[in-house]
Amino acid sequence: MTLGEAVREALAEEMRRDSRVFICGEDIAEAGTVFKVLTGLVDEFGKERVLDTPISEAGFTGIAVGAAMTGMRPVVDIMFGDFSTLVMDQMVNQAAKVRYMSGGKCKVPMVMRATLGASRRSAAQHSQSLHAWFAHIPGLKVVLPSTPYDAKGLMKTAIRDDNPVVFFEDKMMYKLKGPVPAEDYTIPFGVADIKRVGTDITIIATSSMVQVALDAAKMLEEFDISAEVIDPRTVWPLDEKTLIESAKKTSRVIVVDEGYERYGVTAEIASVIAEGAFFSLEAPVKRIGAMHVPIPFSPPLEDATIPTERQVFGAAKALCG
Amino acid sequence: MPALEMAQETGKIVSWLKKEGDAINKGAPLLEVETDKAVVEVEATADGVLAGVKSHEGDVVPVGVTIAWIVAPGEKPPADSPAAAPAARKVTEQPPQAASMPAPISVESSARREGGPQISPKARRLAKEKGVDINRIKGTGPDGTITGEDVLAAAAAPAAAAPSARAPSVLSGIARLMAERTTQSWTQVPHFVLTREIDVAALQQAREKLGPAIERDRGVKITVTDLLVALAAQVLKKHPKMNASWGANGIQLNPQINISVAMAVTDAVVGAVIPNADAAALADIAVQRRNLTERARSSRLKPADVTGGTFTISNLGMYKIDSFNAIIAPPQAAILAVGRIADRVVAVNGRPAVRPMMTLTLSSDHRVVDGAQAALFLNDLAEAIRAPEL
Amino acid sequence: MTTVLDRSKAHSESDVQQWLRMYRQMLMIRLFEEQVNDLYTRALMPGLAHLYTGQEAVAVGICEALRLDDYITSTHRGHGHCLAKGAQLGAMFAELLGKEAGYCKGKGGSMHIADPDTGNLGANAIVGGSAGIATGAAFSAKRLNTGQVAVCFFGDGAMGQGLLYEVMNMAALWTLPVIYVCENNLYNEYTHNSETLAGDMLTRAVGFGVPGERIDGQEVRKVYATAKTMVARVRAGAGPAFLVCDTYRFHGHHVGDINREYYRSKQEEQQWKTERDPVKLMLDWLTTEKVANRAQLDQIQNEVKAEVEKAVQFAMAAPYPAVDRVAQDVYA
Repeated sequence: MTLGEAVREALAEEMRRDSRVFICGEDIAEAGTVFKVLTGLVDEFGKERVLDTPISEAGFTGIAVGAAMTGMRPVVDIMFGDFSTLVMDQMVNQAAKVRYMSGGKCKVPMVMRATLGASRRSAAQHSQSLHAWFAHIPGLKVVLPSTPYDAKGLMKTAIRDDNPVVFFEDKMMYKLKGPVPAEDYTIPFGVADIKRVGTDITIIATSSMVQVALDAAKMLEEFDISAEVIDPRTVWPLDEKTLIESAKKTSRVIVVDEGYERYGVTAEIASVIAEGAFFSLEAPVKRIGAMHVPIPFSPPLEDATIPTERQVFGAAKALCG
Repeated sequence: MPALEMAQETGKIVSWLKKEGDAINKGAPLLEVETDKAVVEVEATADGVLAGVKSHEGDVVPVGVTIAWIVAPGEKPPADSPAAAPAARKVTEQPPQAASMPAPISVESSARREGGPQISPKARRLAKEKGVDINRIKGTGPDGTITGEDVLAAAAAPAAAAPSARAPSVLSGIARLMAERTTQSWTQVPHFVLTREIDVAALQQAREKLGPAIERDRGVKITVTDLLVALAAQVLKKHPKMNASWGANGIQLNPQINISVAMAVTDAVVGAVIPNADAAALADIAVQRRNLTERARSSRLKPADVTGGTFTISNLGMYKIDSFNAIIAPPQAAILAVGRIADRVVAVNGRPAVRPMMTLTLSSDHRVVDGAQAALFLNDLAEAIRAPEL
Repeated sequence: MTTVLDRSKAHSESDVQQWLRMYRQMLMIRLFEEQVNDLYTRALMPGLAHLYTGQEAVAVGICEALRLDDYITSTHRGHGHCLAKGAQLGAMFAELLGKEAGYCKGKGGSMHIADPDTGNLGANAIVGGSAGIATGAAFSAKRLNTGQVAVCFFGDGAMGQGLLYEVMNMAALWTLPVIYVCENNLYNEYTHNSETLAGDMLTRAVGFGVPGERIDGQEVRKVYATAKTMVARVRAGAGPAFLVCDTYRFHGHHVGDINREYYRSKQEEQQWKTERDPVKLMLDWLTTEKVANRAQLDQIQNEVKAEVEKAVQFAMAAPYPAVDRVAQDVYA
């Protein structure tokens, strides 16, 4: 099953299970989204539950917040994560704060799905990975699946969660295949997954960068360097314990994330490691994220901005000496 | 582990002179410890019973770490606590004092200790936990960073290597110190060398004349070195700058004339000191020299035996060396290298003659003395050797 | 004399009860805000206080037309909406003072009072920020077929926010039971809306096919009558509606906004206060119409005054939340 199919299956199963669940967004019904992730859902659930909206991201996100507060469980589809800018007031000032501002009386059980990731030659406004913005805000949870299995289990948890959850899917990974069991399952938030066990260096990677880290780990193997690859799966809540334990075990850590390196997820996780495992470290924690430039269009330029397995490999070798 | 000398960071336990459970009297020798410079007997600091011996022969232990307990009879040693192992004392770099001892550590090693070697946080923690001196570890990580593995290897090394050959980098502080100090001297002291061939017939006569009485009275055979120590000490009185030190404030004249005699120990050479040699009788010099030699051979030199020298004599005559250039032992200003005595054909009153000849080579610190001053000293020494007044 | 009695008899008992209830509610809001002003100026209330004084007829008239389970969303100037929808004075004051007994356990304050038990989904300090929430609540009501309607209160300043038009468009597309109520008090903070609003307010909604009305927001009976019709139509499934109520805030933008000459004249304020005070207008009408006699009206006045004073005492005496509560209620 592909990652895209896993997301669709999770949505379909949750919509069957709970009639309060609905999806809204641009071109999601008959079009099935521009990435065809939701193809076919409208046939089963109808246009009322797979709701095409005007191109009004703030508006339909705001409606989802209100619907969530009053008994529905909306899933909002934001076509490109870059459009997060348009929904920020609704997500940050409304969804994230409603529960707290009301002293716990109101809740906002909604999911905002969005895509991240570059390398589709889509240029600066359709290629960013802006999940760190949401992870910065108390009241939100931020999910970054890297496999079909994780995508399905995490999406189900997201829909069943009583908090606003932001769910980022890497648009380049929709075709990634992986095993997904037939039975119903969920994956709890805040539980990292060790994608590969190793002893010499820990590579903490999210979303699109998990595959990059795994490829780098294979390259390192040839140099007798055993890399552990850990996917936090949710950057908030963050499974600090697993990350710190691995750091203590291997003594060397690289954090790879496709968001901007500066003030980003890599910075946060590097701090967590530094605070939690400092006296077990053999080397400074290395961050690898997107270059601090708007994502360029021209292929060779775009490729230069995004972390690669070669870059991770090189960094790991340098840290291992 | 007691601190036995200035700048000492660790001590190696050579042997325990008492066993666990033995009754101990305060002041009695308890164990032997090898420092950078010497092997020292450590005396018991209290009456009681030796208990809880934690460090064993061959262990290198940081200063301040508990190695054993002296307890009252029936008392048990306290439970093991890692907190009892403080970090090695911090070394503060001081200019060598004229009246005290040679600079204990080289500038290079000082710099390393001051700024600290590049070391990972993990390695630093492990070093503290295991009581390993990070200054003794060569890092194998990126840019020479000391890694946790390096520390663990260093911590494991003494125990693992104990029965077999010593790992020089860990075990022989003396060898390491020699390496550091000669390097420092060779690279930082502006050496210049003067050579003089001297007829030593008179010296040999003096030895034959004075030797039997001294051997009879004091039980020691005088050597050429003893004679040279005595003569050099006398000549140095007239050449105080040759007996001076180079320090932070420039030239410092030393009030005493303490002659160091270079002596081989297990894997290095040390300068064993005959203090106030200018005031000592030849017999006393010979006895002191003999005692020092014996202690050096058995690795039992005490810190005081090797500190405070103001001028060094190094004699390789017994190794059939004709002449050689010696390296000055800072902060001393000069070292006299003594070659063998051999019969040579030389011109005497315009005619060839066979005479017992010896080559003296004087290395001097040009910051302290110039060529002429050193030449005058060497000339006066040569005259004293040709007509010894002993 | 007899004519007056005759006219009095013309009113049904239920009408009389409703009018007196609306008067009482307006008076409660008025006295509440006077207490807030007092607390604030005595430095007993932290933060900001945006007083609703002068606009009471809008909140009371509209909420009188709503069921208890109908939804409202409110604004930074929201005390009146909350009280009109049924909030209790004590928990209101306590929230304003940051006390644990407040509606939001002291975590929301003056600008964020929410009370789901009375359908109040929360006051919102982002201008126009609740337009999405109100529309979403209407969306739920329609999907869950509950018959509820949602009322979104906002000021004329929110007419500058794009979100409002996005959700109005969708509410019209999906025929959602929501009423957008614009309280046109003429000023966007410190700027007259002649400088901020182009064209006509009503026709903006008309462009989406949303029927709109513009009324005098100082006449509570007029507001109520309009709202009643509108709510019934919306509840019946006609889709959203838009209502502009012309009104006036008697105080500044907030309590500290004292020197207002640069944006509006004292004369203008005085004119509104003497001629267009909604509480006074209702009181005059009740008296003129002989709906109630002086003694009854005085009794209401005294009762409300006592209630408000008691509530302030309660809130003043209530404890602050324990500091360890600070991290609670972030996540469910």
